[in-house]
Amino acid sequence: MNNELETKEYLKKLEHLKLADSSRLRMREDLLAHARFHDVSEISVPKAVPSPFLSFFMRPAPVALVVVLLVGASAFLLDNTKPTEVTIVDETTGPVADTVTEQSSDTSASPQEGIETKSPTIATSAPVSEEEATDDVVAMNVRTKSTPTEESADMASDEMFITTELSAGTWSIEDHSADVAKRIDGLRTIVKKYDAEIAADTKAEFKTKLDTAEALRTESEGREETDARANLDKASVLIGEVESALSLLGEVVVEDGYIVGVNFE
Amino acid sequence: MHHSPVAHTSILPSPSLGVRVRSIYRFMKQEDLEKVFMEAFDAYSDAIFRFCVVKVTDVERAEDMTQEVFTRFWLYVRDGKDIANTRALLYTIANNLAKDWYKKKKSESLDAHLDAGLAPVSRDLSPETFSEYQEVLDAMNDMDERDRQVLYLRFVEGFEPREIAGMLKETSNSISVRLNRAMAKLKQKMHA
Repeated sequence: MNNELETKEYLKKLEHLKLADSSRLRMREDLLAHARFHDVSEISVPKAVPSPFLSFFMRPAPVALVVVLLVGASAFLLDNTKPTEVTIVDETTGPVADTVTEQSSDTSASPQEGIETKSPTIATSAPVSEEEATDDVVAMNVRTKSTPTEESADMASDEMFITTELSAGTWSIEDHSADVAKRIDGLRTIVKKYDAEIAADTKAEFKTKLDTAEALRTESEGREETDARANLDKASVLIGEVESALSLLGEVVVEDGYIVGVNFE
Repeated sequence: MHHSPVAHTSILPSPSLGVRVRSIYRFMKQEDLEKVFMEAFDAYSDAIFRFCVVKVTDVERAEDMTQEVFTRFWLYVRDGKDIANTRALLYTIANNLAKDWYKKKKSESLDAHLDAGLAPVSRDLSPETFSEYQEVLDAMNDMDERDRQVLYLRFVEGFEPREIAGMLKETSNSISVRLNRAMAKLKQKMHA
């Protein structure tokens, strides 16, 4: 045990080994210079790494694909719906069919009475033959089937048009970038114009967001299209936050899609 | 000029707390980050220097390595990376640098380096001053490099085996085995 203590004490001698003062001073100056040379401005935006699942769905192409599949699947399902699968058709066919059957089998009863008891909706109409009643049912089925299908098909084609336009990227990256720049400039002008009306901390927050958006836009210029679009999208979100905050402060005046003034009254 | 260690008012998180300081660093201004950085340097530079001396057995090389450790540490601070324990992180960086240095040395000439043994002459450390530590370092010199650093971290810096295991990416068991082995070797040396 004493041996062990002795060994530990022996090692403890090293505790006093230190950097010489002159070395420490030189190192301190070098490190401070290094820290100032590689300062925080080298990192314009904190790099948040989204999960692989989220990053997949944050890209425009997969989102467009999912929307197209959903819309397509809905249209397909509606288009293949059988007449009897629609609930309203089942309820309508039942009483009419019963009425027709009862009418043909029970000749002693008044046709008007039979219809009144079984189907109040057609009670006031004239007595119908089995063939006529069947035709009506078919016609009703066709109406209930065709109407929603046509509407959903129209909606589907509208949505597909929008989605296709987005996924095809008809809005060029240059246009997107120019739009972001215009929004940033416009908002900076607004903030400057209404300097007295906007609180200092809000202005500081706006400035940070707009600076970050500007940095993202500038960074996007030298990047590949997918990354550049992602950068511009992030910038748009930040700008949108500023626009949204402005609209809460007062009534915003919008021209050609850009905020040109705020009425604080 | 002497720089005192970290004052009580330090904004440097206590290493024992294991506090995640990512959010703090991330939103600090340059001058505050510099303050944190310099506080870390003042608090841990001697310990890192000692660790490097034990690792590379060369005072000048240890000084350069200490500077490199803090250069890399600055990037952690500046980038707002997740730092759970500043002290442990510095040792981990130093350990990785030493590994690189060993690899490089091996490819050059390990034998030549080992033959040369310790290099006691430093820019600022006289041979007389260094001789005080020379004996201990010599005794540790022919130990396995990893045994040597475990011995140092445990008995000079006072880390627990569990903490050393975290820094060196080994299990606590293997650290304990290394400690026993290194202690036995050192005793033999001392009583030879």
